[in-house]
Amino acid sequence: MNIQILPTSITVLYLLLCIGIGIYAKRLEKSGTSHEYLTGGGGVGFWVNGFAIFAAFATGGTMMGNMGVSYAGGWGYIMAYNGGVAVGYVITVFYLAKIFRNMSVSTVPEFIKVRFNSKLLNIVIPIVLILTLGAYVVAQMKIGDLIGERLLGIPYTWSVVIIGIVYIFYTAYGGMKAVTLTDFFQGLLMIGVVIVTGIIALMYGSGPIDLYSAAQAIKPSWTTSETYPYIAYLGAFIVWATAVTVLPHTVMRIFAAKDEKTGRASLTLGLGLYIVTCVVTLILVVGSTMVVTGGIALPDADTAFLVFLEELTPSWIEGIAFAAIFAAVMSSVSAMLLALGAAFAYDLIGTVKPDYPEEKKRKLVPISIVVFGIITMLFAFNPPALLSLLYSAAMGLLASTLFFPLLLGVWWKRMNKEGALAAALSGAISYLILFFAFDLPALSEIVYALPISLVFAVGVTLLTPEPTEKELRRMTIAHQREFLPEDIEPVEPI
Amino acid sequence: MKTKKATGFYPLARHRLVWSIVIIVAILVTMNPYSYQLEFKGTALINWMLLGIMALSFVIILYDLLKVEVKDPAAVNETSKTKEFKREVPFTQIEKEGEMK
Repeated sequence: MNIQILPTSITVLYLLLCIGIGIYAKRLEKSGTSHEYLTGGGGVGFWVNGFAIFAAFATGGTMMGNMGVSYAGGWGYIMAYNGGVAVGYVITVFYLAKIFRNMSVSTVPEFIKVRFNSKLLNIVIPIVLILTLGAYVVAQMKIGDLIGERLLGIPYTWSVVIIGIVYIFYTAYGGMKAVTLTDFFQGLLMIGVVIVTGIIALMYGSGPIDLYSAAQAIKPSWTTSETYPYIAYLGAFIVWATAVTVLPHTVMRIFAAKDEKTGRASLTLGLGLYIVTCVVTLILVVGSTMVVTGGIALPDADTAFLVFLEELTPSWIEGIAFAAIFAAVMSSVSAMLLALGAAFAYDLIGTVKPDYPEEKKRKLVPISIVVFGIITMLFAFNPPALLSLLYSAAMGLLASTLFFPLLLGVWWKRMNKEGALAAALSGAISYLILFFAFDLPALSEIVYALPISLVFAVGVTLLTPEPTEKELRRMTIAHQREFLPEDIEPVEPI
Repeated sequence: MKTKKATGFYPLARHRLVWSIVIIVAILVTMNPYSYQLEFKGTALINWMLLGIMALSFVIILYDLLKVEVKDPAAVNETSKTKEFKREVPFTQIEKEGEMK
């Protein structure tokens, strides 16, 4: 009973704090425009944005699923995921952050719209984002709601409703500012738990080397690469190296930062915290869990972290750790819900109805966040059986569709809308065909889909007319400095 | 009036190009079948090298962050921002000159 009271109190306080932050963020709103709502007004500082980036990217999967994969299949394979994540951050910082920021856009599809001005592309990209992020959100909600059920001791369905109402409220009401502030607190909680559990793991062994050797002796396959084929390592690495660069809930943080350099600094802090989390949880915590359990196969490998908490930590730490997992889920889900709402109301409607007034669009974004929140909650009541598979595939699909249109769109002047559309469609279609029609190792589809997308991007671009300098004007300015309202060219009278 | 056509790539800072090559080489060395098969004291070499990739990535973006950027003074001047585009010298050349300094 002791474990229920403290964690429940912490959780209730935490949920109230999230609601309070949503209301506070709404009061901070100045212009009330869509841009301010989706970017937080662009005034977020280094520490808040850095922890928020970490919290939004480190999901419930990072806190539980990754440790489950490390326990069951060895830490190398999951490190391929995370090595890819780290490289993805380098690509984002070196090749995308500054330009995205300088383009003065609010979302990834808006960048595509400004750069290529293709109606079909502006419809395809938001739809792909809505489908892939939808799968991502449902997967995260399921993890969070399972923890909520365990933590609060209430039925799963009620856990879905209570938690769902809180994050839908603060996301829809406070926008990016609320999401960023809650993510900051959630990030602090998460890294605190990671450090404390890391120290406990080290104290359990006689130092990191002895702990590692003991776990290795118990289960040699934990440290070798025999469980997964080479192509699965390569696929996992490439999926995350490319997905990080196009994931809207990470990229939108660059728009939220005070300035371009703060955006890059925040990404650096976010990556640093993420690396610490990976090393501590995947090697130290899982290693000590291995020693505790004797390396036996767990009925559900995803519970490896829970086994560690139950066996090696005092009940109050266990409770706070539950809350941290909970925070990991909420931070990611709220950020993704915001991206989902933006993709629908701001990007898709903005394309289908170009004359749709800005004021109405601004009102439609929170409404669509609520609608998507409810839809994903309904899916979370009865999540699909192949959810984890679909979620991983969703990230591969997103990267196969968006990576080359974005990267080449930023750097290659010759890249045109026909090439971008061909790259997006060929990447998406080839990925889906490989996923559904072939029995390939997990995540390896992208090893083939991405080069296909590149070939189509280059081939179709070279076969079609090049863009004019006038069409590239905004991009050219963005490579120099921030695009300003006075840079918009007046429309010539007919 | 003849419309100018766009060709080539936008210029990239030299240190970013160098670091990009370094990390590509590191990825090729890490993510190959030999690293996957070889073991060092019972641990697959690829595992340690992936840790190295993560550390290298962090060091690279930290270096990039701390590196002092050379800015084009005209771009800093608020009043010159719109006039900037009437220059005879293309932006790409201005940025290249900035990088060289």
